[in-house]
Amino acid sequence: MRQPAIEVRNLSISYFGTSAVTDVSFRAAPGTMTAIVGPNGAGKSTLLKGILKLIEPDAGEVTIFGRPVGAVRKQIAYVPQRGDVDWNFPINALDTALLGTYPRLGVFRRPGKHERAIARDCLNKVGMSDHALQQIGTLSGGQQQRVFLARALAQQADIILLDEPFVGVDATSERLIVQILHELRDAGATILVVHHDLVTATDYYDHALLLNRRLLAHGPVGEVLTPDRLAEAYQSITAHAL
Amino acid sequence: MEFLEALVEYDYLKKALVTAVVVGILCGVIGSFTILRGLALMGDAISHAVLPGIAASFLLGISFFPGALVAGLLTALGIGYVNQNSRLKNDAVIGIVFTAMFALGVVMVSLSPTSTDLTKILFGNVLAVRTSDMWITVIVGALVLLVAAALYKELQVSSFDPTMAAAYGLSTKGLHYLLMTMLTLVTVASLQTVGIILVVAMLIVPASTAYLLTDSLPRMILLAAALGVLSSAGGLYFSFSYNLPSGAAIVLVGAAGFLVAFLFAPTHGVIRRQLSARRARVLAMG
Repeated sequence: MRQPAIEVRNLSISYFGTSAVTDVSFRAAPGTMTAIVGPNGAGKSTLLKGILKLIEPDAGEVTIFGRPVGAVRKQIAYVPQRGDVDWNFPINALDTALLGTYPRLGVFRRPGKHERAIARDCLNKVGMSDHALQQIGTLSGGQQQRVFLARALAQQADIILLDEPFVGVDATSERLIVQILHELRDAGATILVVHHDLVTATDYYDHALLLNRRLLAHGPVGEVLTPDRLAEAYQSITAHAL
Repeated sequence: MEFLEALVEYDYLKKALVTAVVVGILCGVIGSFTILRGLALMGDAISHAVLPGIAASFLLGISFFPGALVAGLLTALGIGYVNQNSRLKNDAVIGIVFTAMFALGVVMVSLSPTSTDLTKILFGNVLAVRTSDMWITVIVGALVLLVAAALYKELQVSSFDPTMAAAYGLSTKGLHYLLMTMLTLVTVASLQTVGIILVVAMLIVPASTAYLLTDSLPRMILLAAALGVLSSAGGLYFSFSYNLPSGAAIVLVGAAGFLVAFLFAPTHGVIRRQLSARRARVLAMG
């Protein structure tokens, strides 16, 4: 196998003594798009945050193109869950996309003409140019997610992590977002998406990672999202609840 | 006109005005980031908690600057530590730590052999500003504004989306403590003007008024600074003309401004919101 874009080895993360993710290992190759699937509380978002080293893991290691995460942060774009964003913040769509240029600018340097052109171009790609000056909270759910995708595009990252990007999103926006993600993947980007809808997962992704605290399966999407495996993943949580 | 004539005539009034204007700008700018990060209560805590630092400085006979700074930062760190190591909610932790610090300050002031005037520290008196106080305010103000301007982009992104900021490598913790440092410095700079009890009003009120008036961060900051200056200058006028406590007068002018914006703001005001809601209902009913 070529050098993996993302390599996770024996990653374990816990919150206040309760384990959220236990002993997860997998590799994602460049130019692949992987769905992270599992029941509520399976640790999907935690896994993304663990890959980004936003949470200190109890054990395990993450490398990006063979290097520690800290050394390649600027090459990783992250689109947070809807609930993590302050939609009343005084910022418009264009300035939100502009945030994507900040990592490359580094501390102290202000975005200039070049960065604004990138932001405008990315907003155009997601079909949001007409709403450039609108405050972020006044947009619809689908439009907001498109703006955040524009921000990820502006970062020109090799690795893109998205946490439930299709929640509260209209069908048109969803199609557009998937299409852009596919283009990025085909151009060599490595994409991980926390995904809820099992029906669409097989259409959207080439790989899947089935998680329920532990890694249950990982591989080509057709081999992972089988009825048996899904039943196993989703049943154990019901058993847990009982 | 009396006020303007007096302004030309009396030096102390000029000093008071310069100090009040600088405090207005400073509080508007730092207050904007404070409220956007949901740290209004933290601002209240830090400003109260500088009291033991000031008292210690009096006891040691040194400038109150380092003392206040140490006390403010210890409080910020203490709140962070208790937060991470207990199951208590954030607001309870803030309440515990800052009231303890404040009480410690009151005890220390009462032990002080020299007659430190507690009321003066708590409520300030801008009309009694000495030249050295004015320069402290101006220099601290310039320093804080310089840092805020240099790190504008970082403060913006970490306030809006702290997860993204941390993901690309910004030290969000570092920025938090930097803002806490700035809050402490602003408190010290505002000591003479509004005092430590009311400085939180100067941090929160003009910024909140501005927040209701615009959807752009740069405009919000400029507007908050302008409103801070208006409150300070207006309060000084009332304080001088009607012999009112300066800090309280300044805060009341600011609060009046907030009330106007709360009611009449173009998109976010109560009246406009109710009109929009009614129109939506009428449209829905066809």
